[in-house]
Amino acid sequence: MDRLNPLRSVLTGHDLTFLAGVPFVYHCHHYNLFHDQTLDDALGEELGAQVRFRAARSACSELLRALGSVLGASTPPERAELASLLLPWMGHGRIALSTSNTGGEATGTHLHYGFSWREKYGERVRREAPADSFAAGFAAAACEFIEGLPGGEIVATEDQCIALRDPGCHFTLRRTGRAETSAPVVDLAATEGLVGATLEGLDEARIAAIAAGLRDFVKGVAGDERGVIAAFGVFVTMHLSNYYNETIYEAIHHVERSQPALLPVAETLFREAGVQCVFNTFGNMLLSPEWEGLVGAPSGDPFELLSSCCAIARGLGFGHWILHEYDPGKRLVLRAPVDYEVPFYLRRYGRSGKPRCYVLQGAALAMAVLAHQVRWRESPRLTEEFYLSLFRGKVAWAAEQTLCPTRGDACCEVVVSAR
Amino acid sequence: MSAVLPVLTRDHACVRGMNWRFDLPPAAIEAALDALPSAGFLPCPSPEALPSFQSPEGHRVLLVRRTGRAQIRVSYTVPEGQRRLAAEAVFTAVVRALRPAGLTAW
Amino acid sequence: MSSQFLDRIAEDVPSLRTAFITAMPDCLLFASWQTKESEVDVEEVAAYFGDLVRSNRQGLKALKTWSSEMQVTIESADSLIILRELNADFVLGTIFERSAPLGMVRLHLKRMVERVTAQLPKVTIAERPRGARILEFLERYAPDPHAILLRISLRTGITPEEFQTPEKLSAEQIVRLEEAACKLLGLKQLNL
Repeated sequence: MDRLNPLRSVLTGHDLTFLAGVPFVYHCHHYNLFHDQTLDDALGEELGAQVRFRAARSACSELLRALGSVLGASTPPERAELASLLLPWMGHGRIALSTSNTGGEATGTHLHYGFSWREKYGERVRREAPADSFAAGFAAAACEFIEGLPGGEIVATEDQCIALRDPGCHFTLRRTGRAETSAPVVDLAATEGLVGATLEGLDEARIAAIAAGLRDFVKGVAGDERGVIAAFGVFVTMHLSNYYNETIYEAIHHVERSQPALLPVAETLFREAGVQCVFNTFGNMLLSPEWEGLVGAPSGDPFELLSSCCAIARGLGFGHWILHEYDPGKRLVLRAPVDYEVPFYLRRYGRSGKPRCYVLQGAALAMAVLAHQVRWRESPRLTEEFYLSLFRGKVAWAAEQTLCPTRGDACCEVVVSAR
Repeated sequence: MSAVLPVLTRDHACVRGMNWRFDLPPAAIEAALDALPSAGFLPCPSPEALPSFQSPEGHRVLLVRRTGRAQIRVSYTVPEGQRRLAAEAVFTAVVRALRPAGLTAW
Repeated sequence: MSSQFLDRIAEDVPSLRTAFITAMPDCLLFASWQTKESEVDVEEVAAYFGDLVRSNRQGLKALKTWSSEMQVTIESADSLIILRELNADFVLGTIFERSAPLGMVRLHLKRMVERVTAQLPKVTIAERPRGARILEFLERYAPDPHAILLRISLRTGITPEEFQTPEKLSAEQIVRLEEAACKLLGLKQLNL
């Protein structure tokens, strides 16, 4: 997919990444599964699947249409070729589409959610609902794109899923004839209009250098022949920020409306997804041969670890994270002009009365814990048991988001203090 | 360079049993770059600091030039219970490939 | 309970990699020991093998061949696993290296059983509230156990604070809790 790599861009000073102007980030399967699971907890399986499907269809539709326009894929065969190559390139598995202007069907192999759910949980619990809402949304968006249909007219139902112990994944696509009302687009142009000035923090030169190297490295990372990216010891996806953001905020707003007493619970779980991200993705990156070869194995110095985490966040497109203050062993202040959550919230919902950067909040907490409570020189194993020993019960650090651009503040700020 | 007896141990991975580690003297990495292709390992595109190869069975071997760390990344298509055996097979193939250069004591 | 007594008993047994005592019928880990090289999640292993023993008991009872000194031996590729009922309340699980001679394993196991049994407490059964038992079941078997109280709270509308006193949950709340637990675990019903 040599045609796609040149379409990547970075919003300078903000470390937000775009493909053909559509925002994307990298997340691993631990984050992705926990994120989707939390949506179902908050919304129930049925509504959860609908919200995930709609967000996926909308985000994938934006990407396919943007790529089609830039690459000049103007005929249905050209558009079908682009769609079939895109999903595996992003590490989401393969999908074979058979479409018409009334719908069609799709068959998936190694689809990220179903495949990684089975790998992680399949031997422990039986699943009752299919796992691949994102791929369903992609298939629907691809059908609309290929057939030249208005956005939102195709619905996809996953009627077989490997997470349900079916032999493969299969989707039925059906045209409803009802186009979805389009929401304000969150792309590079809209984001540029929403971000302020960049920031500089401690250890800036090192962070910037590693982040740049990392970004170069991930440019060479793409799905293998099965559409899977197994890098840094995790299953990685190049994923659409608008999918994550729309689903999180729709779920949070739903809880705010329907059971406000449980809002802190939902917020804690979405923060927890950020903790999982840093522990699993950042942690495994730091221990990987890739990191050892490109940067050097972690020395165990907490400040170096925090600095490395900021570089990883930037390299993965999470935003321009900086270490604003660090009092060893006591306090960490993490800032970013915006993270990948903020532009979406401002564009779709406008101002908020409270901070809204859930991934950033969880990530900051996990960074402090990983920096101070993990003996990196002893090459620790980042197992589930180790995770529970650090994050189950009362955690030794507490995080609070004190500034948020969705509230009108100049930047995002999370203060993490030792208890 | 004296011969070493590398040991295979479990390495970091989110996915159980997927990554396995052994260590070589850093100087042995250069010899490995020549020896592995002759043993059927296919060089993969990778940064200079981190040469990597694919085994005939589809497993990856990553080498860290500066430290000599080597990682076998067993293909995720191998069921969990068989990953250790797959890693051991790759490990044996690598060690055998390095033996003519006097790098391993096997 | 402290596992020190098991450490003393297990550490000198040749070829033994892991030993664990499971409290029945809840399959909770009571005590464990393992070598430094062992990477076993003992809590998980104790729970799964506890379930196996429970099923085995029921199967043997159905066959009318059950005896209280039942023993299960499993020979896997690299391990020899022996589960031995100590009494109605406790099961001893041992994992030996596969290469260990069976005769030697039996001899050491016999000695271990005698020494462990002598140190086990007498159990008095207290009927715990169903809500508490459902929550314990979830914490043991659900994915992401550290988050399970929050997850089940969102799904049931019961606050985490209410879960702190499960004996005070209403009958209707217990029904909701049980339904949500079944859904999370993919079960038709909970056999507690």
